[in-house]
Amino acid sequence: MKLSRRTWFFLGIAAVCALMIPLTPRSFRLLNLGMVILATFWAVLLAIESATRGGGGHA
Amino acid sequence: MSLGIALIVGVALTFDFFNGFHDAANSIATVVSTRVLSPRQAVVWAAFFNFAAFLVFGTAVANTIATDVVVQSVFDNAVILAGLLGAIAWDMITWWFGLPTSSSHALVGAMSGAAVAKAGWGSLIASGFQKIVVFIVLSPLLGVLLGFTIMVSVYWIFHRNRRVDRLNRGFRRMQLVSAAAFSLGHGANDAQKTMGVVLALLIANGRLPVGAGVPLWVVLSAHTAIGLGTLFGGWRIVHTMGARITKLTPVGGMSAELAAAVTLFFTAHAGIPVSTTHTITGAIVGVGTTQRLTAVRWGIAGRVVWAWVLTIPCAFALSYLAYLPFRIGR
Repeated sequence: MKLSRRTWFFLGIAAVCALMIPLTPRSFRLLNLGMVILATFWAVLLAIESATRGGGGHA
Repeated sequence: MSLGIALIVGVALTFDFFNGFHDAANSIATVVSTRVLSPRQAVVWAAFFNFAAFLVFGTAVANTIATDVVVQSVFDNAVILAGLLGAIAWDMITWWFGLPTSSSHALVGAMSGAAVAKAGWGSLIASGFQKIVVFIVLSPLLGVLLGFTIMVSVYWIFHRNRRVDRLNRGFRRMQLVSAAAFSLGHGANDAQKTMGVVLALLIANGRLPVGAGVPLWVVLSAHTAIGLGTLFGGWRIVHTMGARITKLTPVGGMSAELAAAVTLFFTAHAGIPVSTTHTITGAIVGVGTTQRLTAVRWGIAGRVVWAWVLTIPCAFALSYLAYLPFRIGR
């Protein structure tokens, strides 16, 4: 299955947020984790969308 | 108050004015580009809510600037003046080139540069810097995620509604509310940075004890200065933010402003000095991404990113240089 560019975009955001967790002060790590979850959620939905539409190379 | 302190307070308020002039245009870019308000109306709207922010938010960001970035004992009149001059110089340079950079990060970089010029690298507080640097990355990403989420939610809620004209009218009205919310967040976050500088100045001169709160006259004068700066706002940056990053509809403008406002409310409450420019840019990109990635003009967004990367080092270098005459004079 070929993932759309938007899927990669949100996966990239999730990865950056995950990498930032150790650097983030403890009191804000929950926010960081929430951002990883939200970005992954959108990446998964966009991957499903591009798979069900059968395309996915563009946009 | 001595003449020296009054002079530096005047320079700090000038920085605040230029902050409004330079950054506050972001608050009105989306309402202007979607033609919800004329530029003149939008400027007055944003300036009013910039000022009104003092009624809603505390002074957590001001305390962070005054106590968490540079070791308190390093602050003196020369360090603060050199820091302000470096930040103003960087703001003017980027304004001239139409780059939407962060006045907040310019101030943090500039204060650090002057402090290092006086007392070396040990004058910086690593944990304070860590918080600010982490949110340089996180705040635009939070803007992207919230912008995308709000926009998709709005589509999802209203997708069965066929009365497009009526919906558009509703979103145009809502954009007045979201623009006001964003201006409140902007006023809270950015005016507080100047308050932080003035607070550090007053503590350094023994006018206030360490750990004191921000006096009301400082709060009111900082909000007045940023409000006036917004009234005289910079149109070069409005153009970059509002039209060149992506094409916005009223619903998109509302979603972007709401996303940025939520981010700014959170950071103002948590005492994190973030860039309003970063936040609204991220939110606009998030909204544009709901169409397709190519709806975002990445060349412009990339230029903005470069300006962000350069801000702290360049403001640092400018204020380091601005402090050198004081060091020679000692």
